[in-house]
Order: sequence, then C-alpha cells, then structure tokens
Amino acid sequence: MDSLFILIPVALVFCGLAIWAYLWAIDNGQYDDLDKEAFRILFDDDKPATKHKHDE
Amino acid sequence: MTRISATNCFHCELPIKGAAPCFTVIEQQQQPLCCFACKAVCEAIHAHGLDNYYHYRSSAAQRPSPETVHYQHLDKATIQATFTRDISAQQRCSTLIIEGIHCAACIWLLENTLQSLPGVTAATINFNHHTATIDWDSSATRLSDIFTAIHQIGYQAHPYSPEQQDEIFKRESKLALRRLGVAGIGMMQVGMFAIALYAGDFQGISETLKQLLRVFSLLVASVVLLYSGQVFFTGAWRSLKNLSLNMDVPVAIALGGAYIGSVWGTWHPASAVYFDSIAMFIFFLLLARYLEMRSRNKQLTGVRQSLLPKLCKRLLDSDGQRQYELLALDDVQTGDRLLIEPGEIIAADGFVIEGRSAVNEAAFTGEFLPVNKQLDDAVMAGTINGDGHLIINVAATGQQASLSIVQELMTRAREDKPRIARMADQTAQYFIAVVLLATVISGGYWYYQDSSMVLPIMLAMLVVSCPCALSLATPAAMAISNNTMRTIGLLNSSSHVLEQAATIDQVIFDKTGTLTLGKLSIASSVMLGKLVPAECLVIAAALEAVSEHPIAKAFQQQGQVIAMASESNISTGNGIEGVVNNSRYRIGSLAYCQRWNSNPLPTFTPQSSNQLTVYLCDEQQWLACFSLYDELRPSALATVDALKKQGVAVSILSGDSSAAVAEIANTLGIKTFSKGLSPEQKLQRIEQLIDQGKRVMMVGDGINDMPVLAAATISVAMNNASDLTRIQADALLLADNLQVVSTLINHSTKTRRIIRENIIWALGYNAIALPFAACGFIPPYLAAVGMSASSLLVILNTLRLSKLQ
Repeated sequence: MDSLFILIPVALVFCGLAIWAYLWAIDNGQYDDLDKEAFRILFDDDKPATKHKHDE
Repeated sequence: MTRISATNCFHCELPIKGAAPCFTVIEQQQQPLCCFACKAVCEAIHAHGLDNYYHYRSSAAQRPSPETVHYQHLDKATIQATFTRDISAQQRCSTLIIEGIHCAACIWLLENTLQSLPGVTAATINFNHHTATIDWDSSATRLSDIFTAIHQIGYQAHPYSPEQQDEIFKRESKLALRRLGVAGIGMMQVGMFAIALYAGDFQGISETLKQLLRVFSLLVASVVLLYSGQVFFTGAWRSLKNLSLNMDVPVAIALGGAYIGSVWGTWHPASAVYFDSIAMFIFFLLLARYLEMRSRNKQLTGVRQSLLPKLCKRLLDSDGQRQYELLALDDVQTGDRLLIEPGEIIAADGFVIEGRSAVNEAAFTGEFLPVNKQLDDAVMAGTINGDGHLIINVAATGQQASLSIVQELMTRAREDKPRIARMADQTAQYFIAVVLLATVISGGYWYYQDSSMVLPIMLAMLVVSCPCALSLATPAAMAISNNTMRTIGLLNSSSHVLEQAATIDQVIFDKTGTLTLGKLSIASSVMLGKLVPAECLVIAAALEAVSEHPIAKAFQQQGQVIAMASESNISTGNGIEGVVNNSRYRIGSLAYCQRWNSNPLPTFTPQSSNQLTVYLCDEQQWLACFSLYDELRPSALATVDALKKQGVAVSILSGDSSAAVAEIANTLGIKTFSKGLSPEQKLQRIEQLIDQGKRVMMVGDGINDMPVLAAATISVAMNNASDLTRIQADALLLADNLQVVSTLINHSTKTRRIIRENIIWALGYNAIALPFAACGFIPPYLAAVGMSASSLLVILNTLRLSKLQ
C-alpha cells in the first residue's frame, strides 16, 4: 500500500494539469461556441472538391 | 440528408407549382429551382465547390430575396471603424452579424466560402450568436466584396459593433464556465478520494492513509469552494447587506458549515468529513445556474442592437444637382432632409416633403396593411417604407422619437410590476431560521451538559440539515423544465415563467401576427369574365411580382412562378398595371380599375364584407375579384380550446381597428375582445386586470405590445416579433405552434408539483435527521451518505421533468 503515498499526490498533480488545460482552453476561445463543434466533426470529412481551401 | 421531391425547389425546398422556372446542374443532375434568386444562390454555392451543403443541412434554406444590395458604402474607413480593427498595416479584423443562419451546415457553408475568398485569412462563425469574425487583407480585397459574397450564398450580413451589454454577457458566461469546470474536475477528484474513504470505513484502512486522503480531499475541496463556490458567499453577503434572505444565504451557511466541520474533522479521526458532498453540491448548483444563463442569452441570438438603421442618407443640394451623403444616425438633426429608399426602415420621425409610398406601421399600430403616405403626412421612426421613394423632413430624433416613447412606457410598466416571491426561496428562508434557532438552542443545552460536545453537535446539525437538497429543488427543476420546453420551441429567459404559468387566470392575445399569420392570403375569388381561376391567378401573380406590398405577396405565395409582367407601373395605394402575354391588365382597387375600364362591374355577391377585395381587369372587361384575408394561425383554434379546457379565460387586445378583430374572435369563440387600442390603452387594460388580482399572460409580437408585455405577469413574444419585443419578453415562442402556450401551462403545473415533492422530501429528511443530530446519535458516515443521497434523490426526481407528459 506504500505506493499510494506516491500515487495520491500524483493524482493531485494530474488534477491540477486538467484544470490548467481546461482554463487554457477557455481563454483560447475553444468554449466560445458550444453548439457548433458538435456538428463540425460530421462535416469536415470531405473537403470542398473544386476550389482549394485557403490555409492560414 | 434532405430528401427533395421532384416538385420542390432544390435550394429552399418550397413546393413549385407547375413546371419549374429554372434548373441548375448539381452532382450531375438537373435540379429544379423555384425562382432566379434561388438559382443564383445555388450556383454561387456550386461555384465555391460546396455542394456538400445540401447533404449536411438539417433544414431548408430561407428563400433568398431577389433584390440586389450595394455595400460600397462599407468601404469607407469612417464607417468601417465601428466594427473593424486593425491588426497590422494591411490586416483588418471585422465582426459581422449574419441573418439567415438556421442549422450547423450554414456555419460550414459560410466558413468555407469566406475562407476561399482571396484576401480573407481567417473566418469563424459563432453558431450561438450568429456573428462572424473575419480577418482580411485590405490590400487584397475590399470589405464590400466580402459582404457581397455572403449575400450571394443567401445570407444577409450586417456590421456588428458589440455593445457593452454583450461584452458583459460574454465575460460572465466565460467566468461561469470556468467555475463550473473547476467544480466538475474537483468533484470527480474528491469523489475518488471519498470512495476510498468509504471503502476504508468498511474494509479497514491504515490511519496514516486515511489521514492522507482526508488532507488531499481538503486541498481539492478548498480550491473548489474558494474559486467556484465564492459566488454563493458574495451573493449571500450582498443579500444580507440589503437586509433580505435570498437562496444564497442558506447555501452559503450550509457550505460554510460543512466546510468548517470537515476541516475540524480532518484532524479528529472520529468525526466525519463532507468534502465530496461540498464539491458535488457546488457543481450541481453551478450547472443549474449555467444552463439558466445560457437559455437567457440564447434569446438575444441574432438580435440586432437597434431597430433603427445606423446610417441614413441626407440630401445635399449642390448646384441644383441632387446628391446624398451617408451619415450616422446620431448626427441627424431636426430639419435635415433624409432620402428613404424602398424597403428601408425610416430612421427618424418626420414629414414627407416629396414622394409617395405605402409605409408599414404594423409594429406600432398592429394595423396590418401599409398606410399611404404623401406630401405632409407624418412618418414614424422604426416603420418600414414600401415601394416608393420618400424624402422626409426630420421632426424628431433620439429621445423625442415615437419609438423611444414606447420604450419609455415599457420601462415604466416593468418597474410598476409587482415582484413575485419565489415559492422555494420563501420555504428556505423559514427553514434556515428554524435550523439556526434549533442549533443555537441545542448548543446552549449541550453547553450545560457536556461542553466538549458543543462544537461537534452544532456542526453536525448544520451539516446534516444542509439545505443542499432544498436549494437544489427549484433551480434543478427550472433548468430541466426550461430545457424540455426548448425542445418544443419555447425559450424562457426568466425563471419565473415556469413557476408562475400554472397560476395564470387569463391569456391575452394580440391579433395581427400572433393569432393570425400576419400576411395576406387569398380567401376566395369570383370570376367576372371568360377566364378560369387558374388563368386569372397566373396573370395576377405576374402583375404583382414587381411589388413588395403585402397584397402582392398573397399572389406570389400561390407559387405560380411565371415571368414578371413587362412595362409594369405601380400606382402607390391603388394597384399595378402591366403587360402579360401581350395583353395589358390592371390589378388593384375598384376605383383604380374603373378609371381605365369604363364597362359596368357585373353584379356578384362578395363572400364577406370584412375582407379586402382586389379586382383584375383588362381594358374591355372585368376578369376577377379576389378576396384577401389575414389567415389565422393553423394552431389558433386548438390553442384557444385547450386553454378554455384548462379553465383559463382568453381575450384579444388589438391595435387593429377593423371589423376583422370581431370576426376572428367569433371564429375562435373568444367573447372578450377590444380593438383599435393604442399602446397606452392596452397597458391600462392589463393594469386594471392586475389590480383586480388577476394573473395575466400576454402573447404578442409588435412594438405596440411592448408595454403590455412588460406589465403582464408572464409575457410571450412570437418569433417573428420585432427584436426589441423579443428581448423584453419573458419567453420567446420559437415554434410556429401557438399550442405551446397551453403546453406551457400544463408543464408549469407539473414543474410546481415536482418542486413541491422535492421540497417535501428535503424538509422531511431534515425533520428526521435534525433531532437525531441534536442528540448526537448520527454516526459521521451516515450523515455524509444522507446528505449526498438526499441531493441525488432530488436530482433524480427532477429528471422526470425531461419528459412532457
């Protein structure tokens, strides 16, 4: 059971990382539109055929 | 995937009667299209290589408007400044609001189209707010080209300069999401530690390990409480400062009590810790609040900030030549002469000094047909110009304009509205008072019995009686019920809608646009000559195709898509003359036709005296007489019947002064109705009813309904309502189905029942647990389990509200 003394603090570190990643994602605008992203994955499979999409 | 039958337009999916007027080839197939506007949009989409839009979309596109729009004025730097910022010397970033977005495929179409334009470096559309953020290179493209590209694929773009309010909403919503997420992650982590602790209680656990788990739970719960839970403490503090008890007060006491008790318990192995319950409670409460906030913000989606245009065209006289300059509405002054083009919104109150047109004042008066305006007639800001050009002399702008007066009336009505106390909040206030009293009394008792027990007993009481379940009872039910109502097309922006709808005594409808569709249809036609009805309709539709007048739209709706009449000439307020198939015809009022056709009108019996009649003739003979009427909403009759069965009185208050009001009341079986009311009179009627103690629900759509909507106990705005009305109403009816109103009352009854069950359960649990806690009989783990279980039970019971029946 001694391993728990390391694993529990490690869990806490991961928890902190998760919160940091989440807050970063919000600041990055990834949660600005909660309705769009659910559909987006369905659309982007086939790229427009004729014209080249402008890449930034 | 959308299925399109042979007779529906490929683009807008409206049925095409007869042969399709035009085709385009998409995916190696001839696709029928209902009009040239649809064809243009469809081909523009095809040219961008975005045919997949037609597979992706889940609902049909709006029928595009045939008129061409000029955006050149947007290339002026002074005008761009309001919605564009410079990123670098050439790079610009503009924000637009886009009309016509109806499903997620629109987002895909718009983003891909915009990104394929030369000079556009990035484009993102927000589905929530219908806004587009576009980065573009001013050396490679012009902003007007971007606007035109959006117009070509069937959407309307407008400059968007977020007002302070929008910014605040955005910040609030981001902060709420941060708090919610932190509470959620924290809840999961503390929950895992808690499972280990519960398992340890039964299976045995080393004291050091138990202590370690408790300390780590404390750490995570502290973060959740201090970061996510602080809203409850600040809310409670604000409420106490105002000497009132809102729901945040018991929540803050419970959280504070449970937290202090748990911190104390962390270093006293015999007592319990409640960190898991604290995190879970915070998460669920924040979730309910977040959902409520989201549905409130949704109502503002796609709303343009102002009803009035931002720019107007001021006439300048230079050397006898007529020119106009664009200037911001704020700079318009009394005495300026403004040019109002067909279809534009009139920007200021004033008098016509030149031109003739029919102006749609439905928003103010409820009067359905446009009012003819000519020299010296007054026009109001916010009304919509019809077919003709007008030049007006500005008489009032800003605060003095009639629009502002209606808005002011509305603000006053809302301030006068009695505050409605919330059921659960009141219960919680009494409850918290009782618990605090009981805690103090038993604390005093134990002080004399065994002073070492005072703190643990008082904490146990506060924790066990934690009104988690009680405070979750209402917000959870509201969040779930609001969501359920949304699925059938009702958006509630105010939480009292569902709580109060069940108590409504009387539902008052506006007529035009609410009980009726707000557009004319052909009720009947009488043939006066040798032609059959189908032929007459084709001729009439061809003549009317040039006009935007509501009467013309009635004929266009018939779907007879044919070539427009040639040599057509609109006589405002009278009718239209034109050539169809080499013969000249007139359609319009009796007088207008008689001025040209001198033959006597054949005698016939009109269907109804209240209906509007339109005559069709050629130079020699009379052809037809059409009766037009504003059609009832298909769901109106069923709704009125359903409401009557629910024991709710139904009445009509209309600004329309025609006999149509009585006729509609009669058809629907409504006994009380009033017509020709001004906004002030409407407001008086509602205030009288409310003074009599009646609870009134108002369903309306016009600007003239705004004050009454604000005064009513519950206000519902139709989806086609003006933007200002939509923002002010408590609820917005997105579906075209009025019956949602009666469903709302039913669902409200059910919501109230569930809330009551939740409260009874929460109070019952506390009534049993509190005395035991006061005696010191409750073992720590049972208190924690009981606390979580009572909250979960409330949530589960509430979930029953996600079904309608």
